[in-house]
Formats: sequence, C-alpha cells, structure tokens
Amino acid sequence: MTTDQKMVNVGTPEQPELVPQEAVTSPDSPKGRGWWGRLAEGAVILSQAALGKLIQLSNEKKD
Amino acid sequence: MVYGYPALVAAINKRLYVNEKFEVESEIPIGCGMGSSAAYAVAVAAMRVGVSNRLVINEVAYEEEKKQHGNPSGVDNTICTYGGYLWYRKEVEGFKIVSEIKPERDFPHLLIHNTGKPDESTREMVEVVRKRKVNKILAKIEVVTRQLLEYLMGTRKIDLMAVIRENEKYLEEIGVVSEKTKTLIREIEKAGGAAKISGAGGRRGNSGIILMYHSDMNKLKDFVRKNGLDVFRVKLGEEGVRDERES
Repeated sequence: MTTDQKMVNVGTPEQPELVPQEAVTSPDSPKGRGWWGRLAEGAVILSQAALGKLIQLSNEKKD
Repeated sequence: MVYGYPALVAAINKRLYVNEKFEVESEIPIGCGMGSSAAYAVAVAAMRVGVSNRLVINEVAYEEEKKQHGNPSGVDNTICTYGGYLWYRKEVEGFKIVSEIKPERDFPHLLIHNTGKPDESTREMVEVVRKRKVNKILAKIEVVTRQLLEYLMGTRKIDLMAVIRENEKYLEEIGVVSEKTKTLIREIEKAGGAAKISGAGGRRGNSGIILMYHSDMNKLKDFVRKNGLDVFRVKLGEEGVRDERES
C-alpha cells in the first residue's frame, strides 16, 4: 500500500514498542506531529516506560 | 486514552473515498486526530480484498497502520471498518478490551471548530501531561466517559450538556487548554451550550479542535454566526466501510 517507515524500538528487545523514526528525530515535522497527535488521541498507545524513553530520546535529538 | 482507562470511540459521518485507481478524496480533515490515516488504510484494504469481508479488511488495515505508526491501538481502523460506537480499554501491553456498543438512542449532532494550530508541538503537550500527577483527574474523566456510555445505552438519564462541561473542566485541570480557548468555551457556555477540546490541546495560543454542543442547535448556530467561527457538523455512530457504488 505505502512505503514502510523506519522504526525505532522504544520498548525492550523482549517487548518491542516501535515508533517511526520521525517521531524521535523530527517531532515538529508534519509526519512527526501527526504521529504525536495519534499518540495524544489514543490511536497509538505506548507503555509508560516506552513513552519515557521516547521523550528522553526526542529531547536528546532536540538538544 | 491511556493504559487502564476506557475510551468511547465513534465513527463520524465524514468519509474518505478511494477509487479503482487508488485516487483519494477525503471529507475528513487531515492531521486533526480524526482518523483520516486509518480511514485511508481501511478504504485501500477494502479495494483490495472486497468490501464484504470486514474481518479481513480490519486485519489488513491494522497491519498497514503498524507499518506506518509502529504501535497502533487498532481502535481507529476498527471503528472505520465497522462504524458505530466502540468501548476500548487497553489494560496492559498485549491485552485490550474492545466491545461494540449497541446504542439505544442516537447521539445528537455536534459542531467542530478548529481553534488553530497550537504554539506548542504535540510532543511538548504529551510531555507536559506526563510530568503532572493526573491519575486522579483521569479517574474523574473515566466517570464522565461511563456517563456517556450510559447516555447511549439509555440505562440512566444523563444531562449531556453537563457531561461535556465536566469533561472540559477536567481537561483544563490537566492543563492542556489555553486561556484563549477557555474564553471561547466560557462564551459558548454563556450562550447555553457546552464545548470541549478534542486531542492534545494547546496551552499558549490555540488548542486545536473543539467539539461544540447545544440542546437547541439553532442557538449554537447563532453563536457561531455572530462570532464568525468556521465549523462543520458531525454525526456520530455512522456506518463503517462501504461500497459507494452500491449506495
């Protein structure tokens, strides 16, 4: 249907929780923003630990 | 929607069309958290496997959603496929409850207004909420969500206006509504209506999408006209995927 996105695992090797790379590296881009919007709406759900790791990673990329 | 808290999910009467050449036409605003991505995945899946097999359409669309978004809840593609209303609750990773709601009554029309793109990124808004101790507020929102369920099921007399206002109050307590948007919502309430934000919200300027309701929709339309607001009307609990050539 469409091209696969590059994914980043913010979960664990045993329990992977994948997010598109753009959500980490460019959360303010249209695609990144769209993905975070889906998270805020509940269309995407992460565990608390994975969400913490994602926020940490995206802050590191921002800095 | 977070782990352990329920969500009431509804199909809306805005549609996304895909033809045999996979050309897309959409009435659903893109990037507003209204499910356009899932609607697209479902429509394309239906074109490929045929519209009659909804189980397969839903599975194919979910796989596509996973490719695009990594860890989708699956609720968007399910509601786009089957339509109507769903009760959704993810308890822990790998275990979720999805139940079809068979309503005893219709949900009234709502108006949707886009207050504009928030100054903050959605990522910042998620971080703001995560840093706050919101579990007590989320528990209150769960009570409100259950009241909406009871409204639909007709099991108890529910004041819809009060429920929407209460929901908005809790969202303001969480801190995801800007002063500008609060002012607009207070004006709607003064006009006898109710409104709430939908989505991540925004704290500094705009707050994205708001849902507006009034028991007398003509009064709300007057308010909208007087204030020059751009709105569109939505009906909830609508049909899922279908072959438009048959309708």
